[in-house]
Amino acid sequence: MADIYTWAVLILSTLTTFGLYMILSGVDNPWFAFAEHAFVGCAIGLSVVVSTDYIFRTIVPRIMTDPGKNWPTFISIALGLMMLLRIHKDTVHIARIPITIATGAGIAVGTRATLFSGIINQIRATILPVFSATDIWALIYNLTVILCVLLVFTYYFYTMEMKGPLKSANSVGKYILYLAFGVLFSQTYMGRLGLLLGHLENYLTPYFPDFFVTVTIVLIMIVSTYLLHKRYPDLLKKVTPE
Amino acid sequence: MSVIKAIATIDRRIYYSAVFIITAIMLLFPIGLPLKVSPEVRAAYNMIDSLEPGDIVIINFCITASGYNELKGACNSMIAHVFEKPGVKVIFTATADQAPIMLEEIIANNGELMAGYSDYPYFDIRGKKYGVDYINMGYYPGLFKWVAALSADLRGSLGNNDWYGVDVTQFLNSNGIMEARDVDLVLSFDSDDGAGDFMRYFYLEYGTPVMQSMIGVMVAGAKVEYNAGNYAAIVPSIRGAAEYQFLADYPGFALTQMDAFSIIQFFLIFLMILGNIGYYGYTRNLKEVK
Amino acid sequence: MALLIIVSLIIYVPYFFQVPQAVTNLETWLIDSSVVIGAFAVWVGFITSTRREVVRIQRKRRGWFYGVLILVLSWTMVIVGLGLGKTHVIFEFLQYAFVLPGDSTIYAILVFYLTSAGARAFRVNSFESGLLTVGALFVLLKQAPLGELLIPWAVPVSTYLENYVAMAATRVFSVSLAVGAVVLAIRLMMGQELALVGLVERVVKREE
Repeated sequence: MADIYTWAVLILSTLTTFGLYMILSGVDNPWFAFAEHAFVGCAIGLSVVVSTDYIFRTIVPRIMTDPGKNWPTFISIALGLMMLLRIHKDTVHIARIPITIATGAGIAVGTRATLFSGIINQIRATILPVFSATDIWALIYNLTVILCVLLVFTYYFYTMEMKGPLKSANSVGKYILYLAFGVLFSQTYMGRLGLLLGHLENYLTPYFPDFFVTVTIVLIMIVSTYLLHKRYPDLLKKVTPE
Repeated sequence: MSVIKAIATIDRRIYYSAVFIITAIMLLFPIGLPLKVSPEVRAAYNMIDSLEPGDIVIINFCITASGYNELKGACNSMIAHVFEKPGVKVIFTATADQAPIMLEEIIANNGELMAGYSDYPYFDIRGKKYGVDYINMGYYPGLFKWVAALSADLRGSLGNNDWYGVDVTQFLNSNGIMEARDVDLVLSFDSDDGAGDFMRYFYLEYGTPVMQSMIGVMVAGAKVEYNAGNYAAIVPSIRGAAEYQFLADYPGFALTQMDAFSIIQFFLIFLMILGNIGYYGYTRNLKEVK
Repeated sequence: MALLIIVSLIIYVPYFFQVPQAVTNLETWLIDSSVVIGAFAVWVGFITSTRREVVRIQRKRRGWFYGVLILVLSWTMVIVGLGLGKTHVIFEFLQYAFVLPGDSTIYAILVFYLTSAGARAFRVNSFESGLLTVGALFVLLKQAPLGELLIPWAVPVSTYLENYVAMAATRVFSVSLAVGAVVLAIRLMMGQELALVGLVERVVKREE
């Protein structure tokens, strides 16, 4: 039983993975459609299960242990159930109450701490010692950060006319941004490449069964896609979604 | 001239195939290149190394499958390091819906089943037993809202049952885990901003140090927070994971992938040069003629 | 809108001022409730997607059988996960077979697009594009252990670019994002952006 399970997981996960990679071929193919729809279906189911499980694991026991003390939790559940009324246009106005509460709470919770972490702490970290820097390198680094932050900020002045020193600062800010985007591209590439390497390693090692199954499935996909495009275009149209 | 034209008009599918083939070859036949450790990763290592008996650590997984393969190396080595520290108690949480299954895989990679048990969650990780030294509370929806609730009311937001429905009140009470300020360190593995939420609601409110291991896309933002002092330490993406594994002497995925990583990065540099040759030798002249 | 303002104020005020315990309890309850509402909201998406796929199947649109696949898999996961438990073998099987490989692959595909972008987009035909390429090149060299070995002088330059120049630029983004979030919160409380969060219907006036 375990062997069948392991083989089934291996074959289906390889099908899903390389089915999605078939988008790189640049042509419509049923393997991509299958992988995409299977992934979407399972991902939806997973989200629903883990979210509902949270209610049964954390919220319901809270009520069961002490309903008198935790009476506000009943109101939370009622609000959650009201949210479900959004699915019908006649009851969507009732769902606006929990949406309002969730939106207000979410925005407030998200911004109140951001004032400190995103604005105050960042500005404080930019105010660095220049004249009392300990050595030449510390001076260079501190000056770099201060100047770069100020110059890049001038690039984001959209409501003023750029003239004189502001125009020069704006240009230098733009150049700093280009340098930074090059760096960001490389960091993004590093991340995605790490993901690809870790991901492909699962399908290439060990030689048997992973590498064997991968090569077999990839060959089948490439040959079938080629044949569908060249020999059976009508069938291809039927088996791919619009 | 036709060579330059061929370079300028290479079908992109040739690039894709080349990346696949080079990746496959380098993964199957690694070389073993040396590695330098950056100050950030060294600070992360020292942070975990300085944990003392009785410290409470929250290890949060905010990873989806899209970030897992990148952070797998960091997860395995950092978690193993935490579990090697005597007397440290760990609470696993997840703020991404796919994270629990990856968390289970990491636990299984680093531990073995406890005597008398045949399934999750009863794994012994480096001598630490489930229910005595660590618990797995699983997934909580709401992201920053749940973390804010956790900060305000730790026990109420965690609940009394773990991911598997087992009552963990005894573990929480016996280790004095009553409120958010009792937590001594938060370590978050992120493909979303889990550490940022813990930083805003744990570090800013109680001074709890927060560490983050993040995917490549988030490295720039993480460095900003680290530079501002909001994060205690960061382990950036797969390169940081490899450096951590090197420091911790933990031979793992990230370290073995560095060869393939190097070669493909050089391949990208080669393509940049090739693209410029093609542009200056052919495409630009074509535009001028037009 | 009044409810939105009240909820927001109940959450803001205890963070900045000392308030009675009752207000703090109300704040905690509101945050908890928003998490519960979010958990139920997932069902709205699930029911909507089910409805959409049923319509697609009924109308026999091209590729309608993929809708059957979505319905079968999503409902199987929900029934097994909630009925038999999320540690059941079928639930875990579907996660390992479809969810984990699918999610990994979607982002891993970007490597190929980024690689072809490296060949096509990094053309040094101006000062700005030259800076872009130089920034990318130095950091690529530093990230690869082979680059550190072959070109050791690239490492300190790249570290300087990453930890100071790019960090400073990203700091500007962070501050701008934070300011934007605060402005959005204020505009929401003033009733300016209710359509953006679905609290009122957006009406587009078409000029006759």
